[in-house]
Amino acid sequence: MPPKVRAVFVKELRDALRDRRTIFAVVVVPLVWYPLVLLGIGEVAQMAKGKLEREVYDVAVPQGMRAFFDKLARVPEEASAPSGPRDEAAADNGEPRKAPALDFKEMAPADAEKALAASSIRAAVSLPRDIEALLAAQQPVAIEVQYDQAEHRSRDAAHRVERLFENYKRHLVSENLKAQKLKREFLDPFALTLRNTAQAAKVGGSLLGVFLPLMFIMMIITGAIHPAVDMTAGERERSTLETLVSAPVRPIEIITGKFLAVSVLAMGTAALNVGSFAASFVVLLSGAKTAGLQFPWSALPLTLLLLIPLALFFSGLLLAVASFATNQKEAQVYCLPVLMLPLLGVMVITVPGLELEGPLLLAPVVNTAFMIRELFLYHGTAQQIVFVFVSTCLYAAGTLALAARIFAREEVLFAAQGSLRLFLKRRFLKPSPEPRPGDAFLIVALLFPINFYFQLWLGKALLDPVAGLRPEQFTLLVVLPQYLLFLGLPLAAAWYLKLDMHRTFQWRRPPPGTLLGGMCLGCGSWLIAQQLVSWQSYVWPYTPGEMAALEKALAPLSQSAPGIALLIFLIGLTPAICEEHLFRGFLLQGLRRSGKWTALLCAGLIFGAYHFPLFKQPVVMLLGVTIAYVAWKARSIWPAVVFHFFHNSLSLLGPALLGLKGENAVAGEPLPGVPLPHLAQAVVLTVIGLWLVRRSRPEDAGSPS
Amino acid sequence: MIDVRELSKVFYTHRGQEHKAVDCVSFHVARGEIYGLLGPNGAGKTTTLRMLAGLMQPTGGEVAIGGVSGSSDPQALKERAGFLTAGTGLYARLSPRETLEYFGRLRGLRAPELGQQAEQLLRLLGITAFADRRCEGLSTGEKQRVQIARTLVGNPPVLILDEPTLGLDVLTNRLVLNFIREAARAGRTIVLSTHHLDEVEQICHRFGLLQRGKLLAEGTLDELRALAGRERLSDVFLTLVERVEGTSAVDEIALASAALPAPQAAADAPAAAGGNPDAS
Repeated sequence: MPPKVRAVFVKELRDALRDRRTIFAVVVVPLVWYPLVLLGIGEVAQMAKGKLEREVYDVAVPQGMRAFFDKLARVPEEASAPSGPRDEAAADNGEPRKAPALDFKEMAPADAEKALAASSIRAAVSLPRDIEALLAAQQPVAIEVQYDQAEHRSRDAAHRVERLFENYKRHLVSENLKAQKLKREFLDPFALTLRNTAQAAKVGGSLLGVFLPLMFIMMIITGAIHPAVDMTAGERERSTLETLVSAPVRPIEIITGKFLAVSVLAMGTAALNVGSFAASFVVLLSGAKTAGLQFPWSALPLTLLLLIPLALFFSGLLLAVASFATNQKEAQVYCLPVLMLPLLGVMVITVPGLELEGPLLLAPVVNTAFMIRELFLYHGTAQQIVFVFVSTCLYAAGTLALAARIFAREEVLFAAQGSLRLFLKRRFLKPSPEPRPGDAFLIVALLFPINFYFQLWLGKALLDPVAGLRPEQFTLLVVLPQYLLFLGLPLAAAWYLKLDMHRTFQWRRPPPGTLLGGMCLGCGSWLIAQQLVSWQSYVWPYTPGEMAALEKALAPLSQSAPGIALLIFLIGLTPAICEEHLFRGFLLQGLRRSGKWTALLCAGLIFGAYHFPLFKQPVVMLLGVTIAYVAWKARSIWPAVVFHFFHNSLSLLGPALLGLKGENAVAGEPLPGVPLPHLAQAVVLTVIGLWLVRRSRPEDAGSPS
Repeated sequence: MIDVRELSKVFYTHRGQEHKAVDCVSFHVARGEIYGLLGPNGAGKTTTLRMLAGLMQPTGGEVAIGGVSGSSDPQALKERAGFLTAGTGLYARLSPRETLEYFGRLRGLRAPELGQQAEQLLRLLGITAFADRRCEGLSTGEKQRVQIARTLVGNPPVLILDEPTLGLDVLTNRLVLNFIREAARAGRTIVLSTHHLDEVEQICHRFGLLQRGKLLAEGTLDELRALAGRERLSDVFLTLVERVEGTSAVDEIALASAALPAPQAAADAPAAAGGNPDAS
């Protein structure tokens, strides 16, 4: 960690831990909340339940029928129901059954109705006065119980009356069977039992899966909200912010130190929450008769892992939001919408039938809540976890970038009130030679889900045999987003932020030799990439993604010359121009200040993360770093464009040109390797390319073209 | 040491209208000199000082300290200047020692130099007795001493002091003025702003008079006295404003006051009665 960032981080953490409010939110709430909720409220509920069970309800019965009802109450409890399946899970809890506590009052039907409406009685029973004679003669008997559905006690009383009559019915049946000298099996030939086979931990997981994500996320926010507000709006309110920014420390260093401190507090809160909840749950289970329930311990480590980027995300978001406020009260109001996000997540995951796939996989907050539920149910794949983790990390970087951008603004630091209008309006922006790291991260974080959803939709459309797209339809669909998203958005952002276009996109004339170097690298790298993917498939089985469907759909085009030209335009030229402007232009220049290798690695990794499926990403990341190196050395985007163009074009057309009759890739099996002579040529070309790029000197670079 | 060339700052209101807070201000401050930037509230003093300290980017013009321009990198100015303003607070939950160490680290100091410098400043400003108490429990005077020590951490060659005596009692006021004198004697270059004109007559070597963002006049006290033909600095200032704008700020307020409606009681009373309304 850079020393100044560490200084801010340590100071903020120390300051926060001396604040009673932080200690309350971070430590006291989690340690007190769960025992209180799980044990305390459970206890109160039991007490209330016990009180209700002991309560005696008044029930109206027809005139002269009280003796009959008293007799009913004295009928001994029958051992088992004569018919119907028995659900073990819903079975009684082992306590001896007691006669329902009811007090029968004789009333005329009209009076009973009025008394029920006035809640002076809880239920009213109407039945024939000669019921016993009718039963003895085995004649049909109709009994009606009136009750008030809106009143809990009335529902309970009706249920008790029902139990009374059910017991009487069983008693009569039993007597009749005895009289006829028949066994119980005459009426009840077999016993049906529903037995739950779910593991105890899974049952626990299914019960906790909805409740826990909400609690964990809410507690992360609880841990983050006060420090975030205190470190931004609080600093402004106490007039310490001006002192801080007068020190020779960059705004990005200040906000990163604060961001890390808030994140640590949020993560600490999350960890304490998980631990406190688990402990309370165990104590609760040990004292209760819940043999079929266990805490799903094995889901805990991954849950904690997923909560880390979420804590970072909320820390950045809360810092960004609170930076606009002039005082802490105002900041808390601004932070309220952030508190709504977990509720949204829980609303989504409780919708029946929804799966963690497609758009949900990348929806911020919702995806983490969903993933935690899946983990508690022992579902979820490694791919889902990676997607949720990586996307949340990217969103966290985006929120940090946003916070840094807001925090650094003079209008926010010194204005009486932060103004969104001043922040967003272009005329108030100052020209800058190149993007800031925050701008670069914001653009890639914004584009990431858009690109993902588009690729997902395109893949599905291509795979659909009925409503599938024809080549001429998807040509436009491949080209348009490339030009709009990867080229258009960075260009628009550079214009809006008043950046120097030539520096941002490195539109310089490249040094002699680097274009040739890029070409050699592009011609060699595609075969090396194929070989690397082949080796990778031995340890990581190949899984064809949606892009494989695209390649398959485009294959017929390679049969004709115009088709090949179109293919080169679609797969070679378009990504080479558009993606290079985003990744080696806007992103790489934005990261330039962070040092050569940090910039190259970050740009390469993010480039790889954009290329689905997951199977392709390691090799694409390596390729991304290499292309970034070429652009960095040449100080020009054009050799990188040439590299990308040859790599992509040859990846599609090369196998046919070289006569490599590639066996069709089969999911789950190792991919075919590249023949050694071709691989050797590719290595030689790559080495020559790298040598040509490496020997170029920055001063060879021409003026902006 | 400090070169300010055609410095301007334009703010935008929420409706997007321009407001020129500082308008083409130029001056030079030599090493070891105390330069007083004087003017009424809203004259542009704080904005000018914030640009000098690298806290704000100028809309036009340039600030250079020790030949290094802040236009391209405001950090260069922050590294060379210590900034103190009356309105700024201290971290309530940190002690004076921790405050000095924190700002020392932000200025790139490392142990053991950091500890030595903090200790030296604590002794110099008489903070040792309460060095480990939290700042929230300190008196205003003690807090101001800590602020001065914080400004001096890292030994910056330039000090920029915005209203350093605002709201202080007589004793602390004297302490701050003595500190300014001593710091200049030790070779530091100081720019300070105040609207208590008479207070700084004795400590500043040269003065710049700001009014509505513009530098009306500049020079030593004697030069300004000669220019205005008045003895006291506050009279000098009013005379110069009057000369440039045709009317003085005081006159403007007097004119505006004349247009105020009379109080209800006085208006209702007969004109002949006059005098104190309480007497009637």
